[in-house]
Amino acid sequence: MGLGTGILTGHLVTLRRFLRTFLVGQGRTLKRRGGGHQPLDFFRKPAPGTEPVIDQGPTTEGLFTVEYPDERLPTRERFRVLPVLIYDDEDGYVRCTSCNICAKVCPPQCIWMTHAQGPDGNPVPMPEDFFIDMDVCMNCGFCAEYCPFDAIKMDQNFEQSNYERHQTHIYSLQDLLVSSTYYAQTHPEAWASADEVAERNKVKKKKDQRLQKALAGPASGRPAPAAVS
Amino acid sequence: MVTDPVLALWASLTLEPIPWLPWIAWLLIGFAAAFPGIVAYMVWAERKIAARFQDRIGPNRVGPLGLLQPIADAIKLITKEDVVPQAADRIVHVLAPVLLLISALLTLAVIPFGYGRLVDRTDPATDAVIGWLTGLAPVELPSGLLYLIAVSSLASLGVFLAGWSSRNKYALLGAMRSVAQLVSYEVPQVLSTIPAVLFAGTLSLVGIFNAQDQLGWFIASPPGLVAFTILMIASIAEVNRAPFDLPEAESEIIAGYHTEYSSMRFGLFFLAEYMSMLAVSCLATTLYLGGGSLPFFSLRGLLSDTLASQLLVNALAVGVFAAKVFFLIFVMFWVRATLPRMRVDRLMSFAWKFLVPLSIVNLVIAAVWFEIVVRPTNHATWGLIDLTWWGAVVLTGLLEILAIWILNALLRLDRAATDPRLIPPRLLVPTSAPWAQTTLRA
Ligand code: SF4
Ligand code: SF4
Repeated sequence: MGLGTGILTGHLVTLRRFLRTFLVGQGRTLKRRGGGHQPLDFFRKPAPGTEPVIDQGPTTEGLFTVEYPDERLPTRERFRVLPVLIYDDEDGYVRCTSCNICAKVCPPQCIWMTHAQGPDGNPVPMPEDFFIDMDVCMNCGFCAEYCPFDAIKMDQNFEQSNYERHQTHIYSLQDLLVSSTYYAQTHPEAWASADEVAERNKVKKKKDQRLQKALAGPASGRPAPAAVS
Repeated sequence: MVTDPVLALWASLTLEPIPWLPWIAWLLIGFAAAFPGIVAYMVWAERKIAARFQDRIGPNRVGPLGLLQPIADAIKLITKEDVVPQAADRIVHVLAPVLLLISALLTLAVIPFGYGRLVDRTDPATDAVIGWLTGLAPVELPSGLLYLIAVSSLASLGVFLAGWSSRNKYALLGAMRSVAQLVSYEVPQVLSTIPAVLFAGTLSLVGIFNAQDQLGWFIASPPGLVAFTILMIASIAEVNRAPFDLPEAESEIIAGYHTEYSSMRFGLFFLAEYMSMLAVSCLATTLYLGGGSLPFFSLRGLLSDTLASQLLVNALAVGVFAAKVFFLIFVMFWVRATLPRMRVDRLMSFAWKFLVPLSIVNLVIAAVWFEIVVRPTNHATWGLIDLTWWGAVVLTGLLEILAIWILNALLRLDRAATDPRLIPPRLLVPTSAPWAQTTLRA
């Protein structure tokens, strides 16, 4: 006969979902799934930086909401937002040689830079200053793809909002620099990959040679490190 | 020990000494404070519960568990600009939401929420003096149910005025749908209240509550159960909630009759919708779930003349009443979280071709139950569990099943005959027509 049985079954299905939000998940009954703060713990929130990271898989059941400021989704290694410039921790040198390739390849043309000059007025392979207009950048990652020196990389920090957008959104060299250690932390796989290891060694050698050559003018000796933030 | 103001307030709430005092007390405590507060937190509960049905958390940013969310929403609504469209009929536009809200509030005015006090009253039929519970109803009307049905029909007037005065095609369409729906579902709603009237022998809601306190809940009989179900279905349609929310179907007609309303005037519609949900739940509780009474056990014996006993019993009864009402409201949330919106022709055929005949047949079956069980034994339900009772359950139960089965079969036959998808496609122009032949040849 089937009189209304479909409707009743449907109601049982939704009721089951309703109950499961209380009963299943990593946390039981009253505990938040993912181990966030408890629902009965009304006023305490995790301190900034200690928010639990919630990783949901295809088998996750129960509540799906990630309460963003208090809980976070994990960022995967390939996740990219804005470019950063890397300096090597060992010697404090910026990897960038100011070759301008990234500026040329950048589709919206939001990178520009000035070349550093040695004591004799000859150009030195490092940037004097380096700018990226973050409002124009479209996060394509071409700059990082094309950089022959692995100097520019895509960062994962997505919390960039602020109240002023005319000056603060044009990032200068100082704003862009991050250490190679930081990069190794956010991109462990890429950092350990054979490619990047080989590239690092090669670049180091090449850069050293070019630097020495440029500096072998009237005044010998190394200039002060360009920037160590 | 007993302070006078407390006693006076209590006496006033239970309709005794001064005729106008209870009204003032109910207006100030119930209608100006308690009911809007309950409604605000119904909205919160609905958001929380609907969220859980969808594996979400729901509001939790304003205050712990989002408990201050209704207050934040109210502040937002009040501070928003109130726009009345230039072409709108101003007075009617402003009046419409108020009318809706008044309808919902007036409905609540005759509901017995608790036990009230035990007073002596002469039974008009037998002239015997009987104990009568005043039921803690704001107003006790001898024909409360009639009044209740009359004021709840005001809602469709409010809805139509809103849609008409807005001068907006969507609002008008929504209003027209709404009136069609409200008028249609009012019929089964009213018809399904009649078994309760039949069992109790009175139109007074307080009387119906008294009868259930004595005879047992009316839902515990096959005709009562069917009537209660019809009443709930029709009530959900009456308050325009899913799956009967065609009047405000967002995807078709924006927001229906309140498309042109903004600010707190929209808030009034919102308030009225939830208020009428509360009202129909209270009505169903009073008619079939025995109001504030507990199953198998009457609190009447605990009532005495002392203030303490009255307060205690009534606190308990109001708690029980609130629990039942909340359960019914939860069921409404649950239905909304489950069922998609109905098609308009299905909506109408369900009301007129299924619910109305079923409630009429149910009335007859209720009369059978009345004759077999209620009248001879003076027990509606579990006051008397013996062979007569079981026999009556089997008999009326079978009759109900038969009625539902036949009506369902008829409805299906009718659907099969009228469903456009099941009618074989026909050519609009018969090719045998001579002029069609010439056109085709040319
Ligand atoms: S970041 Fe890379 S591509 Fe861009 S200027 Fe520096 S070295 Fe060249
Ligand atoms: S990510 Fe793309 S748009 Fe942004 S700076 Fe690099 S190349 Fe330009």
